[in-house]
Amino acid sequence: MEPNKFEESLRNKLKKRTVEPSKDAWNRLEERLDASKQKKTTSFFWIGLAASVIGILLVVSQFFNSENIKSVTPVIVETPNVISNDNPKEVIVEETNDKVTLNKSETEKFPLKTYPPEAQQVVKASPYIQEGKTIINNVASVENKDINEKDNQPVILKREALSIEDQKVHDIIAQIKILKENNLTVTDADIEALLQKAQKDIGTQHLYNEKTGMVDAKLLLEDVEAALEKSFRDKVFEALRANFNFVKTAVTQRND
Amino acid sequence: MKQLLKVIQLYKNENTLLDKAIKNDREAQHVLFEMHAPKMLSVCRYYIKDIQNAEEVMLNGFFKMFSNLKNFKGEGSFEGWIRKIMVRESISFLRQQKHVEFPVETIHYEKDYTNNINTNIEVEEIQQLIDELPEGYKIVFVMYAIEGYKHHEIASMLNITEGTSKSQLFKARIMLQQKIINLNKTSYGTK
Repeated sequence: MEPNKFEESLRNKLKKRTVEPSKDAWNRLEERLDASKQKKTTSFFWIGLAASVIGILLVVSQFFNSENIKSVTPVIVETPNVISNDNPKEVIVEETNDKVTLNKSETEKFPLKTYPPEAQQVVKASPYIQEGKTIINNVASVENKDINEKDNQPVILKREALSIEDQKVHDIIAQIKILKENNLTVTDADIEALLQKAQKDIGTQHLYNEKTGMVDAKLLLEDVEAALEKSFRDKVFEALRANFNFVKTAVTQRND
Repeated sequence: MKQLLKVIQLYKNENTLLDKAIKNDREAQHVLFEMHAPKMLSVCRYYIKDIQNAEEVMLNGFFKMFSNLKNFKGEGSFEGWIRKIMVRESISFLRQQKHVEFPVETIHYEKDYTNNINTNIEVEEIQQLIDELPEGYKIVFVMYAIEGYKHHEIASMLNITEGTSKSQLFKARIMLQQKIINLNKTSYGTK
């Protein structure tokens, strides 16, 4: 199967052969080469354009993302809830103090001893109601809540306070008045007994919640004890002094 | 000495031409085309009967050659490299045009008489004989007898077995032998 002489002669003859291409052969090839060059440059242009567009998009998206994060970070704050959970006492104390001063100035007839647990519950419940709203609103709602609490809560507290403790004060004063009117001598022991009785009654009312039928004893103790010890007694004594003097002068004038 | 200087000059010229052609220098490419196109068209013409198609295939080959010129590492001659591109392009063209068959038949290798044929036939007659061969025979015969490829090279390029390549060559030779005998008979008859 080796190439033979015949094939060698064929090869020699054919290898020497040249076939001239047509005149426009080079022009056709040149056109194709030019077209491919343009195609390459255009493809590079489009690739570059696409890359730059992607780059711009990335930068823009990062910019917007960072803005979103900035705008979100303050929203994440759940401190409104924490604050409202932790500071209800403060809020209440401040408000009640304000309220007390108001009450004092407004009416000396109905001095405040303390505020009821219901009032505290109303204030405490408010943050949980706020949780239902969006976080952004929460931030604003804290302020609103503060305003609302300042505006509305004292009114509620005042009414609630009047309804329980003040009624007791009224009862005590009325009893003292009755004792005075009946010309009976009113000793400090009697007043103390009356006060203790009234305090017990108020205590039982605190322990029992009419709406739910139950009351949180701990909460009650924490919130009420201090206020009860200080404000209730002081206020009762102030009220008693004022009224007792009034009654005393009335009795002495009548005796005169 | 003068001849040697000419060869060195030519070598230098070809290298500089190739460097310029790689950088897409049209003039250099044109010179390279003018230098090699006639031979390359002849190569394509071995396989493709129609001269226009052969030229188109040759242009495809040159286009690919210029596009991949930077991959030419100088191993072997530049002409050999282009020639290989042309052969591949021609085979690819024939396969696209029609299904090229390499029929596998059990062949009894008999004595090859082509060795004894005294051939005074012209190149155009040789090309005509080759053109008349079936595609499968023609490709293997040209690759082996004219281009000098080995059977394993042909087998890998055509994606056939070496045995198939050998059988194709054998059949091509028998057919050519018969044709040349017929040609001689007619020529003698006319003369």
